Amino acid sequence: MLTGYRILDLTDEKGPLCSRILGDLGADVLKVEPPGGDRSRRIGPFYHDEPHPNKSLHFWSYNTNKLGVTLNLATADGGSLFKRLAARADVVVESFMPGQMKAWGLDYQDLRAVNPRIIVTSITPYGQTGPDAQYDDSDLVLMARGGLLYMSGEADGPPGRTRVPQSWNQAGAQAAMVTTLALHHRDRYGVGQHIDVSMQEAVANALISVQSHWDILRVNERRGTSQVRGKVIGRYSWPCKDGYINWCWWVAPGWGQKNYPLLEWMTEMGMQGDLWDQPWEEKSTAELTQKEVDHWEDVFGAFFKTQTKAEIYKQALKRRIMLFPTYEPSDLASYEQLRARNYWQQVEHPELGVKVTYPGPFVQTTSNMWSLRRRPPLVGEHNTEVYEKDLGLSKQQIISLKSAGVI
Amino acid sequence: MASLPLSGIRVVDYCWAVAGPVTAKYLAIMGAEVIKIESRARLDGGRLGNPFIEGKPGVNKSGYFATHSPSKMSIRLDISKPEAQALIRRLVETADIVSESFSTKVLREHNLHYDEMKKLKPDIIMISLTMQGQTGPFAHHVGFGRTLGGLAGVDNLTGWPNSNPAAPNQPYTDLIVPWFAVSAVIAALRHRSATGRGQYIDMSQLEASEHFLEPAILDYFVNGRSQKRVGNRTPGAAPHNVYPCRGFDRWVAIAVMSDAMWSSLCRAMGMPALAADERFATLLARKRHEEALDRIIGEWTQPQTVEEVVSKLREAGVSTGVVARGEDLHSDAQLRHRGHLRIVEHPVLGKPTQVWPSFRSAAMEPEMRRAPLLGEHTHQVCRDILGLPPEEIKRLEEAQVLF
Repeated sequence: MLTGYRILDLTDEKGPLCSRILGDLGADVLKVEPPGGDRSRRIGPFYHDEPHPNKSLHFWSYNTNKLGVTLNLATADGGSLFKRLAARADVVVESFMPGQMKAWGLDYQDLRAVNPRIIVTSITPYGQTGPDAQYDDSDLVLMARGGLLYMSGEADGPPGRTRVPQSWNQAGAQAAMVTTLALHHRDRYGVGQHIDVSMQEAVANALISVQSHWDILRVNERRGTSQVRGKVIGRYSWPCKDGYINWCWWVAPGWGQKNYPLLEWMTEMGMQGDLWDQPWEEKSTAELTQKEVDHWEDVFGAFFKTQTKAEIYKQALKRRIMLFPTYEPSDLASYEQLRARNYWQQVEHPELGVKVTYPGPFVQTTSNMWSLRRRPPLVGEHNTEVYEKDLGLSKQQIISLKSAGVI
Repeated sequence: MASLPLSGIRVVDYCWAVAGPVTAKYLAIMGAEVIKIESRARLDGGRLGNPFIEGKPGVNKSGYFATHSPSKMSIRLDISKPEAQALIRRLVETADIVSESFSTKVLREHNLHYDEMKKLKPDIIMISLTMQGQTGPFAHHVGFGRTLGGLAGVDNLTGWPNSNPAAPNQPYTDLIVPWFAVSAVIAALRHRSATGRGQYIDMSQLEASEHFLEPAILDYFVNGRSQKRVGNRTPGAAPHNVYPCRGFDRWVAIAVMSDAMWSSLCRAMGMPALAADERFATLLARKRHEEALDRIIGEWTQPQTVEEVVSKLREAGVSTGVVARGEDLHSDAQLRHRGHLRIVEHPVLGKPTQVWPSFRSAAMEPEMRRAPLLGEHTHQVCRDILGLPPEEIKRLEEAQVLF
């Protein structure tokens, strides 16, 4: 568990998942936002569609388990208060453009002077150095330049992204991984470090074989709902009566029999056509022609169209057909497997007088390392607690700082 | 050279396919000694993953395997044989971590599940990576990442509203899981140092992946809205899309985040009057006429190369970038600056490039050794870790235990 570690989270939309993961595993996380609140509080959707900094569901998603203060790092008092916080912290996670922290006198070297064991994790679009380091690009452009956008969407249409920005989460989750490694490293060897995470490169690390296809075969892997299998193209996504399912056929000795449970069901429904006469176990994928594949896919496709995704999945579970339906959030909310594992978590939002259901453990462990302990902070919610109780400022000093726009 | 965080940590790894091996990869390149248990009798599907050198399949010819299994050792053991299981148990006695990604019943069949491991090494940390976890009514349902993305909701939220759900054409969720998994394993190591106790880690690919879609899930629970895919549109920006360029399947991404950036785009396109056109002058107007807007920009980009468009727009201060293909990732100046792809020599693949992780730190440089040939370290592990004499190793090979 990461209990006892203190994390200062300065990130905006670029990577708050980093400290969320550390917090979920037990670390104490303090989100330090500019006065008025982090700009990711402006990202929708919103609670009851009411745009308000304390009602952004996007902010909620990635800031549970954190306390929140506001602090203007550009001011002298703001900087010195931050150094006092950093002196007692283990990690600072930040996502300002390269050079910004230095301009404020708060970069790794400055913080190391007050805390030699500090770990600073910086998340930026392209990394701290290099020709593009100063370009502040959005998720769309980073997904494009990291290679995942080209792989998304239909083969015969334009690339189309995932609606929830993925580059922010890819960078955040990878930053969490390397930050935990750095904590482990520090506990062993006694030294902190500065970690430079590139979001573009984080996206490229969400690719499975795009780089190696070009490297080894000089082939650009492409998007679509079919995949090249030997010399033919085989489908993954199939329309059914009320949506889509994901499934693919198998051909090869030792693999072809994976099609039989589906063929048995199709036979019971009288829609098997001539599929039992095909060389599932005799041929290898490399020996197939597109003509025979197209014929199979016509027969499979016609069958799937007669069934709902619920019925198809029910039969798949019963008959062990390697297939999944394509779910929407509404389907996930009522999905039996997630309910059975107590996945959904009820979190109190006393400021609204409601309980909100959040996604639950990303990991289940025998020592219960994962926990969701508190809802995301309101803007400046813990200013008093942190500045007065922890740092020992007087009420009068806090009023001064507030009037001057420091907190 | 600075020491790596996981040096001295031993991992017995029977992961295969994607999520498991990628998790083990991160542990390996950060210093752990990862002993990958493989067998000719049951090959890691990763060894049969495209691309192959010269396009011909072979257990040591996969660029996919080379990418996802660097810095590991490989020992051939047919785990269906009782003698092999006994050897694995002896290895586990010396290990810190066991990782596996079989379907839920396989390890139980082979007596290699956590309860058994714990008897051998009471503080062992074991991680299992499956589609939907170890418990629940559908835990047994087998599958793989390319199709699981559908269940997780990624597919329905990716691509265009008027065509099929179209998530990244690869096992995307398989690559999300390892980042969570490594954090959990490190947290478990810390728990072990603090308490002396190991633990079992149950990773469900579905459950970890939901966090990448969390705002859409909350939108349903809070507002009753079940989000669907919207292509490249986003509420706070227009234009915000990809546009065709000259050549086969070439695209440029353009994200105009403010009215000022919109004026810059118009000037860069040589259409300054467009900025004042009442259809496009404000964000709300541009959102209302987004189709017409996309058409005008697409007509401007179409005859040009993507590089020309990017250069003009960057000059003008517009957020833009090439929609990169594999080829473009190899030539991207920023990625080259960082050393995203570095040659790691391999006896069969020659001089393939290895994908570097997304982080750089002077204090913690990953140790990237080439992926092992199948069974390359069988003798070494049997001799140095298990202490078997040469004649015993020979016998086990003949009995196809080391197979």
